[in-house]
Amino acid sequence: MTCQEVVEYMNRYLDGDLDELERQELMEHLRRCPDDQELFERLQRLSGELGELPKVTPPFSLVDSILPQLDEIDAHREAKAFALQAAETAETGASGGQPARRPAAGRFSRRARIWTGSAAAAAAAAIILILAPWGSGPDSPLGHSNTVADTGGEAASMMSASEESAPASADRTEGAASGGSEAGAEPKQQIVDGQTVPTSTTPPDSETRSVAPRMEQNQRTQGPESPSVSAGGGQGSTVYPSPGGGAAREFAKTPQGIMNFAGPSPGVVSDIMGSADMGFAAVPEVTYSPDRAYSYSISQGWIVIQNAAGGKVFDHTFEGVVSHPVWSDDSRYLSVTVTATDGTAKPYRIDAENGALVE
Amino acid sequence: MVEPGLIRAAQQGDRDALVSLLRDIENHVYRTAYYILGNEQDALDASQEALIRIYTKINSYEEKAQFKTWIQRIVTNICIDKFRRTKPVVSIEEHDMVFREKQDVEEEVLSAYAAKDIREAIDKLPDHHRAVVVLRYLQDFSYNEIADSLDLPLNTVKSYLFRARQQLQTLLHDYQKGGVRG
Repeated sequence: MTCQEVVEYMNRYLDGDLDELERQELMEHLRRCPDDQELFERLQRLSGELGELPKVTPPFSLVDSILPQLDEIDAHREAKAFALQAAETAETGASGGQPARRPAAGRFSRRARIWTGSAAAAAAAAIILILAPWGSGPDSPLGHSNTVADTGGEAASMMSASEESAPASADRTEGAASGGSEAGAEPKQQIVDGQTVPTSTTPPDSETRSVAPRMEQNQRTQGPESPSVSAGGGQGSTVYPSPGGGAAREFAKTPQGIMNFAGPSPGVVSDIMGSADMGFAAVPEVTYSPDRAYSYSISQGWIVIQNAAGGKVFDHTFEGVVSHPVWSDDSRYLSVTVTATDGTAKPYRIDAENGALVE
Repeated sequence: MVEPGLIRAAQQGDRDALVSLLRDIENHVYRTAYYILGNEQDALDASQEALIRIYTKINSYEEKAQFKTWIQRIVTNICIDKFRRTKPVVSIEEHDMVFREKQDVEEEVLSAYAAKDIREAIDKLPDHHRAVVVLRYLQDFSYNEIADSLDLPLNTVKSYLFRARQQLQTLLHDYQKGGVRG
């Protein structure tokens, strides 16, 4: 037996991998070779010690500690499925020939990007308000979900879903970016188009009148039956998916987004407002790298980076809250600050290309 | 370790089954992370991330593989790819001098290595060697199961394990002979 063979036999012996003949060969060799005998004894001792290493257990239930994140994941999934469905319906409905709607497949997507970063009009927030109760109707596949975590998730996923759906056009970009008025006007018009049943209740607040009753109406006509956009509201509702994400963000940021709709439909609004603090904290921000190759979503300590195809390239949960995301100019790195529960802030850099933390 | 029926239920969308499954495996996940990463905090972070990934990827598990090797693949990947790469190795504990006091008494010296000495020695191994040792001794995996978990050829697993033992044996032997602690 060569020296190498002996060492291999020793190791295989420790792993119970020697047959009887091999074992006898090894023992025979060791009897004649004190050095190997000593090595063998040390390896045996080591193996015994390794086998007795403490079977450590976590100091607390790991599953309990991640349950909130698991809930959030579920909400995201449901919302995404919903948003995709809505987006598909929107594309189908887009051939209906409404003048306000551009036929190009790329429209929605570019707009979604713009909405992400630009000031959204109040009407856009209305869409979310409409969407929220409608998505959580009793027979909706989303199940019963009055929590804003779900609502927010819908909005966020809608953005990414519509984002995935297509490219865009420049004129639309400028139009929407230059001010909320045009961006807001279109959806509002669509909502009017989508009105199938005249509302009998006249809200006291004239400012809210134009949108809120329709919200209730949409609930009635679309909510219970089906989540499909075209099912109840007619063609008009096909605009929903596009600006949803931006609207959600603005809704979260601007109080007047809520104020405008508070009058006529207190029940719905209070549901949303009541949980706004918690819920909109869970609305992930989605922002694109300068070259649009990647987008990130941040929710508390959870950060996900997706590539343009929607594939996840990075998924990590920090102990703390992630803030101040900044893309590097070359779109490769995303720098963030993580503030731990004890208040200490620490910078991290994520290599989006390799899906790894680099510092 | 996990009932096949539970896995199937989880894959069919039974959330309670999935959460229950995670509870069944959390200690195994944590143990691997703890010994690969060498400290509790990173082990907790990595284990939580692994459990979340298992939760989201449960449908990508196929029954042709063993479930336990599938989860160990997930946790070892997270430990090696993310945590190990970005964080400097942190020494687990202060070294105490017990062996040096005994070093002239060969019999006693050879009687036992302290668990923390072994952990420190494990921590000095290259990542994949360490992972092989952890799966072999903390998860009681066979060569084949280790190969499946780490996506390594069988012969590579053996080679890593044998070399790791050799290195550990040398490190611990050196400690005894006079505290060469790198």
